[in-house]
Amino acid sequence: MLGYIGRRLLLMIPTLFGITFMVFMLLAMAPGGIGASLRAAGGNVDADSKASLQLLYIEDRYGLDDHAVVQYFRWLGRISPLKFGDRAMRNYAGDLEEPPRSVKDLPIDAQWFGSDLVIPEGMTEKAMAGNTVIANDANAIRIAQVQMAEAQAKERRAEGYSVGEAPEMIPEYKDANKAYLRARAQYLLAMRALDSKINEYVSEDSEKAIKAEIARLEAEGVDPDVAVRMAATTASSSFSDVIQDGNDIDYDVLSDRVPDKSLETWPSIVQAYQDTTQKQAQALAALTRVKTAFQAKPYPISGVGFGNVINLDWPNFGKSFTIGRPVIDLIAEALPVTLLLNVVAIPFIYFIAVPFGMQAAAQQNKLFDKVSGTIFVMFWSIPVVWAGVLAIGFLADNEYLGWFPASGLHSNGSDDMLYMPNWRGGEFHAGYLLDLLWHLVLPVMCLVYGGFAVLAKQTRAAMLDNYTMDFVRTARAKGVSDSEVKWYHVFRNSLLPIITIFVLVFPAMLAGSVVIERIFSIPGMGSLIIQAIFNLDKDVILANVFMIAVVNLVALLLADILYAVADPRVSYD
Amino acid sequence: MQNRFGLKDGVMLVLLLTVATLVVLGMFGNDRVLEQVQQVESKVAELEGAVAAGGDSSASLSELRDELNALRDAIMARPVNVYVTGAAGGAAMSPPAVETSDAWETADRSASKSNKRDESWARPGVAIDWQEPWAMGSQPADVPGFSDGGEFTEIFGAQLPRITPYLSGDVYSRRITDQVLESMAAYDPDTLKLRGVLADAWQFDPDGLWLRVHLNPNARFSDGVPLTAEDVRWTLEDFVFNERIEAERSRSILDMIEDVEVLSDHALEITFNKALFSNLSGALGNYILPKHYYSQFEESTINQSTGLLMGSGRFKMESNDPDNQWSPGSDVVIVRNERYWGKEKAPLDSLRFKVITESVAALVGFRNGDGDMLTPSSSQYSELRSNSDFLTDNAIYKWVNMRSGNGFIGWQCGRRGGPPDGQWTPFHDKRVRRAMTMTLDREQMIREIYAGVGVVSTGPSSPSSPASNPAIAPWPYSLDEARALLKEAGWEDLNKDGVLEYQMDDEYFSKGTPFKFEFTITQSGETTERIISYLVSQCEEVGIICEPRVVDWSFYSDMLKGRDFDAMIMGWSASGPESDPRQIWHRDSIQNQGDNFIQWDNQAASDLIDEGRKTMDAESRMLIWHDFHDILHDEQPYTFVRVAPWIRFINREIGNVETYPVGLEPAEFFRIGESDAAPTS
Repeated sequence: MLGYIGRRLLLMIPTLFGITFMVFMLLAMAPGGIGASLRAAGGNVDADSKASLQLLYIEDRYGLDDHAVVQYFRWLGRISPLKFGDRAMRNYAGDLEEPPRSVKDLPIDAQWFGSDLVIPEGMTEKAMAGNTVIANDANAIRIAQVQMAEAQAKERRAEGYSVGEAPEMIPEYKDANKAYLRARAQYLLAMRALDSKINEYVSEDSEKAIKAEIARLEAEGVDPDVAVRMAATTASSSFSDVIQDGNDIDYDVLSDRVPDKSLETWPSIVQAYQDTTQKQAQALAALTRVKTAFQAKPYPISGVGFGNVINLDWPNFGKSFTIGRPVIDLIAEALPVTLLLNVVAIPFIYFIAVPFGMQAAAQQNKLFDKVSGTIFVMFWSIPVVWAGVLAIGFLADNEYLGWFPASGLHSNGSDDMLYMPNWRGGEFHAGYLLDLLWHLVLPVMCLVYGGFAVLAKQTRAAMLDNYTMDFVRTARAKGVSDSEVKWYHVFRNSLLPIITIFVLVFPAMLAGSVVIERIFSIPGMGSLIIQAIFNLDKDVILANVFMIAVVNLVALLLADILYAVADPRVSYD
Repeated sequence: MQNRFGLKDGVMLVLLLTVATLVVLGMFGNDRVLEQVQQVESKVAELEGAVAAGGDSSASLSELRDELNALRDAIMARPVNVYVTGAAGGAAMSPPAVETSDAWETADRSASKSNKRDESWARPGVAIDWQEPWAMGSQPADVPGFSDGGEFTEIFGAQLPRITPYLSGDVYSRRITDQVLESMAAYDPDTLKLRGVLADAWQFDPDGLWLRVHLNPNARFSDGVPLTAEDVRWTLEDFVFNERIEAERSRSILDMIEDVEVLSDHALEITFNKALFSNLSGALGNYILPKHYYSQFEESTINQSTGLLMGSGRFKMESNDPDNQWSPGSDVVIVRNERYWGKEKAPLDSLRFKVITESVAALVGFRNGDGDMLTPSSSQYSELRSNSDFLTDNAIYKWVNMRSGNGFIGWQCGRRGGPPDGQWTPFHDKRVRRAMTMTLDREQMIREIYAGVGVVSTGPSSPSSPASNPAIAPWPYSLDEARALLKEAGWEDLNKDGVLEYQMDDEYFSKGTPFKFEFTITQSGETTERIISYLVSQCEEVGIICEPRVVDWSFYSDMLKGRDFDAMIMGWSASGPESDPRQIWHRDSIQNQGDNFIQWDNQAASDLIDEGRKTMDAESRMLIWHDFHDILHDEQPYTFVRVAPWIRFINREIGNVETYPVGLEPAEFFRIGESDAAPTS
């Protein structure tokens, strides 16, 4: 048995790889990318002129501009409890300070530009010189900062918290980190400027090609106007496939082409490239500085290390780039809400459907069986959207019945309520708990009614199977009463499938109900996931997929184990 | 069957479960009590701090007394074993009416006498723009039915991710932060001119490269700490421009700021790296954060925060404790800043912002009294606008303001998919574009597609904006004129098959090319259907084949980026009375990731944009924008369809609701009939 469980657990790892990889690639292939979700607000598009600049920054921060496979492996590295390479630190607020990311390579080799490109003498040295550590003794502000950092470390040590090896380096680390991020942004901007120069260069080249084509066509005797029209399609420029859809530049293709140095825009792209190399050198210098500060370990190191290569740390599920908050925090907010709904709803389904199913089996093909079956199937066929809106329209609207609240989980003043129902000042106050339950009525109703049919039919079928068994006939023959037969012989033996269903229902509970949460404005897992899908918010989607997949796999395993426990005939050895 | 599960076992089990449930519930209950004790304690600490700062002129004694009274009520109303001696009678606890206005007047007068026109902070030779103290557009106390206190609840249609300033970017969180935080200047609700809030004077370089600001020395944050020039510098340099803080959006918007230099406690100078008209509003319009509050946090704490919000505005968060911040999923409640530094405090005790994402539920919630203000859907508006039952309890407001969105159809003026090998569309010719505009009866579109919500628009700015040229009237709806224009441009139906053909043979099209175009639209339900069917039928009238193409928004934005469409419908949203047209209209924005999706390449317009951007004087700049508007009107690269007004349902219990060109000012609202006495129970 243990061997079996171990095998199953090991099998889960490749399954999870497969699931997450597929989801990741689907997301990567979705059109539009993140630009769309960042710009659209309420159907209108933000007329903000800096939108593309924001996009650039955000893409870089979350590494969204890398190749999808690279992104996937980075994600795997983050969620893996085993980490390789440099270890992250934890600052005093308990948050991760990751090792600084490396600087991107130049988009194209300097050789492509040939002798026209002149790299200024001593560029790297100059950049390095601009990024030296600010000496502690020369700068009054820095001295004060260092003293404060040391005092803070002392205080923390006295309180029993861990402190880094060199807390006096904290101000230097922060400054270096800022300087590096700034230099990195400058480098990005320079690369984008290069992009647009190359765009201009390519269009100049194609204009030239078109002119040549027109001249050729006219020489062949084609009407000038028609020649102009035809040339646009027949002319071939050597750079035409450099620009992809959406005005992006494919540098791999570009580097294979021989540059045409006679074009007017040639010097400007050389200049832009030179700027880019300079900005890169500065970013590299800033990186060196921040690395030095990081390696001094200003903050305590995170996780448990085995040598300097592998270490053990908490999985990191990343951040939502649309909201800018850690995914774990988002799930921690949404999950309890969804669980609350389901913990209330599922017992309802069981307490109603199981007895009805039993009774239906006992009175097979009689009126009760048919009526209850019909009603449950009818319920099952009502779309939740429609039922939810009707419930709000009739049961919540004061114009009609107005018995229940229309949305949310709490009333306006619930923060000031007592927890339990009470009579304060001679008046009845429902209290926080009753208020919550009152708000739960409609959503729970919508969650519940569709579930009756499946469970009742399952129970009925299982009971009927057992009613035909030999031991039931024997029991009846020896004169056991109907209800005894039902409860002690049939029902107990029919429990197995009912338990299995529960194990399968559990993972679905975590996913939440998108429709119900949306209709009743309940901020649970369903709302979180659907929002993330609309925004292509990778980290949120992946964390949820991962969580639901793990729970599903564990539940399946649990179901198999329960079978073996409940039925001695089942064995996995 | 010895271990049969009998009745006794059942009873035992039920009892056990009940006890367990009660224990758990009791624990939750205790938790809540504890939480509230903590809140009361932190409030007491805050008050103590204020008392300790005794001589502080802003925290006048009567205000402190008010706050103490409120606190006493709070304690009494809560399940906390705190007994306040003397409060047992309870009946006579209503706080004295606030009579500080006189004191303010005198303090102000003496202050203005002492530093009357102190110009020592200014650069010589440049005119100083003196600012009157900010006053409410409509004095609540002058409105009949005025009363002090009560709560106002607005229903939001989308979940708020966070309300930490500069890190949140959505319109909803902005509505909250606007009440809590203040900037150096803001748009006057009525005139839309920039007016000082925290600043009482400024000097703007005629060349647009520097700005000197003098802050109001009375300004204070909600915890009583004075607001100084150092707070301004810190906000910009150490918060927004701190790369470790994830405020990329704000950083990219403010990238024209070069340096902020503190000159004295209340004077500072901001220098810019490029001369732009928008420097003034851009630099003055930022929220000023309290350095003493935000600097206590690690950057990572700020990055992950949801509700770290403290400022100098008329409202404040109930708690500024970082461990007890607001988090999404619950209502946002902001309470009146009793120690507001300016003349007029807000009449309401608190503002509540409630999220109801489903529009039917939102309306039901609104009608049930769960909210006082709702932004209805178009269909809800058209259904209820003449419902007298609804109108007895509720008022409907509908007006165009500076934040109104502008909906338009954009015509591809360049080669579809971009040069060099893209195909031309018929819309490269301005006569064709104008004919398209005349083919569409925009009045009728608003009436039938948008449920009557909208005003025909003529240009990129909202009609309420000074940048909009008032002399321009929309092109009339006239199919005959449209046909004539199309004929002039070479499109005529000579073979009588009902479709126009090109009658010339030139660089754009060959002779006999039928007039056919693809109309791209994003999926948004019924409205989409109506727009498509209207457009197709109108085009048929003049002999044009319009092929609709419905796509998903994420695909749409890719298509815009690749300029791969013939015609598309979209909207621009605005956040101020004046926006920089460069990104959308300048020829340089055809490339370089600009938003000139339609590839409208117009030299005269681009020159005007360049000139306008460099013109610092608002009035002469407006004249330039008017000329620019003129060119747009003549060229019709867009067919402007409608400016969408704001529509709000507001409960009639709310008084002093003014529909300003800037939007609404909830700080001026009050709740009619709400007694200003504290609840006496």
